[in-house]
Formats: sequence, C-alpha cells, structure tokens
Amino acid sequence: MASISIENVSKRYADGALAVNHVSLDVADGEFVVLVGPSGCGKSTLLRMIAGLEEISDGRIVVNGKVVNELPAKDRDIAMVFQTYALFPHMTVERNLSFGLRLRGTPRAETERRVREAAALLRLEPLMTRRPGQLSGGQRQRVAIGRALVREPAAFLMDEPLSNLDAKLRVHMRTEFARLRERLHTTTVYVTHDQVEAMTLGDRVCVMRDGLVQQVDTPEQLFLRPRNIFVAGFIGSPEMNFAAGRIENGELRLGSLRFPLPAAAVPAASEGKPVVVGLRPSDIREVPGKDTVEMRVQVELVERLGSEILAVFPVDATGVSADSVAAGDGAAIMAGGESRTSFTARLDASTPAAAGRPIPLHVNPAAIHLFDPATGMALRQGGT
Amino acid sequence: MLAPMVVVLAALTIYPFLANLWYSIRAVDLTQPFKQGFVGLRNFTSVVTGSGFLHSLTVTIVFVVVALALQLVIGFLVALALWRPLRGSRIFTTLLILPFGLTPVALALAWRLLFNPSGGGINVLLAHFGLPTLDWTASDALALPSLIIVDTWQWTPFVVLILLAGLMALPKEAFEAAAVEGAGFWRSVFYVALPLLRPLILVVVLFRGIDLFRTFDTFWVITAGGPGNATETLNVLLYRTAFQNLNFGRAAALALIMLVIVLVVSQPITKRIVSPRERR
Repeated sequence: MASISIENVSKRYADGALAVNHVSLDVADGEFVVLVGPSGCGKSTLLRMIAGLEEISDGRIVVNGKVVNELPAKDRDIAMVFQTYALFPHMTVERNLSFGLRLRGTPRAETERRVREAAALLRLEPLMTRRPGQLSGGQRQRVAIGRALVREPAAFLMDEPLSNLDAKLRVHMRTEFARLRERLHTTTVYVTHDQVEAMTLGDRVCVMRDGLVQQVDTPEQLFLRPRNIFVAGFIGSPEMNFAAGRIENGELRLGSLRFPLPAAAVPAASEGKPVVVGLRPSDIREVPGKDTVEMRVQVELVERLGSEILAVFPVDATGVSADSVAAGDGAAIMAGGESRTSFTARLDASTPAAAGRPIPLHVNPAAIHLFDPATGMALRQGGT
Repeated sequence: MLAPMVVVLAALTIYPFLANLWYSIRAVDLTQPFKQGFVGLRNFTSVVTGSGFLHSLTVTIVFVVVALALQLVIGFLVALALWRPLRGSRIFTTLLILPFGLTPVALALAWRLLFNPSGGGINVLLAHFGLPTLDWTASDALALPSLIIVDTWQWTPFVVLILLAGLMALPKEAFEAAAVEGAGFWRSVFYVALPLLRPLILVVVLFRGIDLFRTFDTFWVITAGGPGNATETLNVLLYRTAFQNLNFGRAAALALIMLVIVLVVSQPITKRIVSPRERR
C-alpha cells in the first residue's frame, strides 16, 4: 500500500486550456478518496496524471515518498479501473486477470493462486474461459476490478467505474465496492460525477470545479459545512435551495420571512448587506421543533418517492443559481431577476401535501447556510 | 431487374469458366489443328508431370511467401511509426498511395531500367558509394529477389495503409490499460495491437497472397521468366503454354490447377477471418 501526495499539480494542454489548476491533495495510506465534480472539472485528468497516462505540466506527484512525474505508467505499480473497463477483447477472463502478473514474470503458481483468489472474491469462477464480448456489463466490471486486484498494487485508481452500468446494477456494484473497500483497505483514488457514489464510498471527498479543488473533507462535513455555494449545491440531492436574502438587525430576511439568527452566527461584516441563503430540502420539516420558524407555503408540485415526498413551493425572494455565484457574477444575480423562486422540501410521505394546498413548514434557523454573493464563500455554515 | 445482371455475369464469368473447363478436357493444340477431341484428364497429368510445373510452382511459392512476409513486416513497422502523430506523417501517408497507383507495366519498365547491369540507376548508385555492382535481373540468383524488391516497393504502402487504419481504430483504453498493467511500447504491440489486428492482418494476407500469386506483368516486362527459367512462375508458364506453344487445352488445365491452389490455400484464411466474430 502507499500514500499519494499531489503537490501543486497543473495540467495545461497545447491550446493553453488549463484542465487542472494547482491542485494539492494528500491521500493517506489505505485511504479511499473520491474526486467528484461536474463534467470537465479536471477530475479524470488528475487521475490520469497519477496513473502516468497524462503528462504533468506543473507541480509533482509523490507516491510512497518517491516523485513519479517522470516515471512511465508501467513502472508506477498502480492499478486502474477504466470507465469503459478497457478489457483485452482477445483474451479470456483468466488471461485478462493474469495479464499484469505475466508481464511482471510472477511465478506461475503464484499467478494462479492470486487469480483464483480474485475470481472467488468477485464470483468470476464460472466465467474464466469466456471473452469480454461474452460478458454482461456488470461481469465486465468485475473482471476489470479483478484485473486491478490480482496485482496487489500500491494503489487503485478508478475512473467512473460505475457510469456505464444501468441504475439498478450501479447501486448493486456500489455496495460491492463498499464491501471491497472495507475488506482490502488499499489506497484508492476514485473519480465520479455522481455525488451519491462519492458520499457513500469516500473516506474523504474532493470536490472539483474548473480544474480547482473546492473542498476536501469527509462526506458528512461536505454536507453539513460546505465551504462555498458550489459545494453546497453539488453535494446533496435534491440540491440545496438558494435565494437572495438580507441580514438586518441580526435577523435574516428572506422575502417576507424573518429568521432570527443567533448573534454568534451572524458575521459582523454582513449586517445590512445582501447574502445568499442556502437551505437544504431535508432541513425543511413538516413538524415544528425547538426554535423552529414556521412558514406557510402554497404547494405547487408534489413528487412522491415512496417513503418520502418532494414538495415544491414558491418563496418571494430572488432566486440564485449556485453556478453563477461561484463563477463571480454574484452582483448581477442579486441586482436583477424575478423576486420569486421555488424551494423544494423533502418531507415524510405521510405529510398531507397536495398541489395548490397551503401547509405549514418549519425551519430551524441554525440549519440555514449563508454565502457571500460576490465570492460564493460560506459566511456561515448551517446544519442540524 | 436481375436479368441484365445475370446476362453480364454469365458473359463475363460463367461462360469463360465453362469454356476453360471444356478446353481443359480436350486436345486444343493450335500447332496440331487436326488432333482435337476429348482427352479426359490427360491435359492435367501432362501439366503436373511436365518438366516446368514443379519448378514454376516452387518459384511461385518462394515469390509469394517471401514477398508477403517482407510486405507484412515492413508494412507493420512503417504503420507503427506513423501511428503516433509526428510532424509530416500525414503528407507521408498521402504519398504512400503513389506506388500502388502507378500502372504496373510502366512501373516494371522503370525498374527494368534501374536494374540494368550496365548503366542502370541502382548500379550507378552502388558504384558511387564504392560498392560492388550486381547483375540483378541478369543473374539466376538475383532475378527473383529483384522482382520481390519491385513488388515489395510497390505494394508495401498498401499494407501500411490498411494496418495503419486498423491501428487508428483500436481502442486507446486497451493500450492505456496495458501500460498501467506494466507493458512498455513493444509489449503493448505484441500482446495488444497484433492480436487485435489479427483479422485485418489475415485480410491483408488473403488479398496480397492472391495478388502475388497472380502477378504477371512485372515478371513478363522485367525478366520474361528468365534468365533461363529462373523467374518462371505458374503465370509465366501458363502464358508460354497458351500463347507461345499454342496449347490451349494444357493451358486451360493449368489455369484450373492454379484456381484450385488459390481456393485450397485461401479457404482456411477466410475461415479465420470470419471466426473471431463468432467467438465474441
């Protein structure tokens, strides 16, 4: 096993585009770190740089104390699972699994033992003589993981390994991954654009956007204390509700709603100024609690998910898009726009909510997140 | 709608084939016009037991096998070199079309001049560098290798283009996976590129093999089967039997024997080209 240290690493393409912008990240020995972000955020490029498949324009990558910038992929002792699995179509499952060991001249008995163990772990025994073309998506996925496992590498790199599977299989394989993670404890860097995968698998999650690291933290901290409006919007499903508000006399004004904020929670510089208010759908409750503020809302739309419902209702405040604020056009957002936006609440399925019907909902002001409209940075991190 | 096609097909393929079959079992020797008639398989036995057949068969096999091997090896190496985009590789790839776009007879005439032992371009070049000059097409030992050089020069670019197209179409991830698994460039070539290109290589072997087997113009223009009968392939033997000895019956039998050879040799290759699809 190994530790991976990414120090101030950048990737600039020939056309000048900066795919990865001075990223620093430490992955401890045995840690499972997930790189997550929207398409084009540089997460896969960073992973490929660790693997040695992409040149590093600037900075350095250290694996187990050794700088690997100039080391070719074949000498890095790192295994990778590709989004397309990248199995060798002309080889049987058994040959695919043993490929890396055979290249390294591992004794035959040792190769066979490791292949047998990996096959047993991933339930591949009945498939050993088949070729990738004769396997289903899930089976190919398991072979790709098996190929990485048998080498017993210093670290695993996984590039969106579940994204080519259908929804049901993806959930199943996610559980398998989690199980493998618990069992093997091998240093892993896992790339995904799916925040649920990131939250369920990662010891720590690194959220990226436009080549920059936005926040590296445990899944719980990312959810409860996002550093900026982008992380707040990206992590959590349904997305956090955002709207323009103002702090006046220690009170948060959101349209016609007033939320008293604890004195310590209000940044002095924000007094009398506009802020972006963030409220998670799960922090809007159907039953009152201690210190909650009631808001009567007119439900517009109800989405029934079985055990819970998503109720969409209007709020008389200017809507804010997380993407625009973090891109630096906060002022423009705050100035214009319709002074009405929709919020979503995640409620218990028994809540008597129906479209067109007014219901009382309750919010604990302590759960409210506040962001600077100009920079998108958190002024106050909520969470209950 | 099909009728005109059937007529054309019958006129151009079926009739000549049947006529060939008819001639092959009859005595059709224009030097003995009064001795015509049914002879059964006698034309075939006299072709096979004739003095030139085994020699011509050997010359043909050596030509096909050596030229094919050279074209495949050189073609694959050049395709590998052009695979990684380098400055100028695109222009070079376009230039590759030129040799096999040329008229074979014109090309053969040019090579005959180049091979000329006295004053030919190649010997002039060798002499310029102080190297011994060679007899090329005038020597028993060098005539066939000379023709192999001509064919390799003309047709290797074709092999390069097909294999290069195949290499370009291979999935990039397979090579990246091989690199991560510990394979350097040459191991990736041997363990990944070559096996994945196998169907395409077999197509090249089939196309070029059949084409080499029926090469005639280059031989006829440059050496006419000589010196002596050093470069007398089955095609040259066939031409001599038909148009110099005027024995059309025996020539038709030889043509059928050649057809059978092509079918027997190409059958297993065709089978292998099709089979990988079934395995997947």
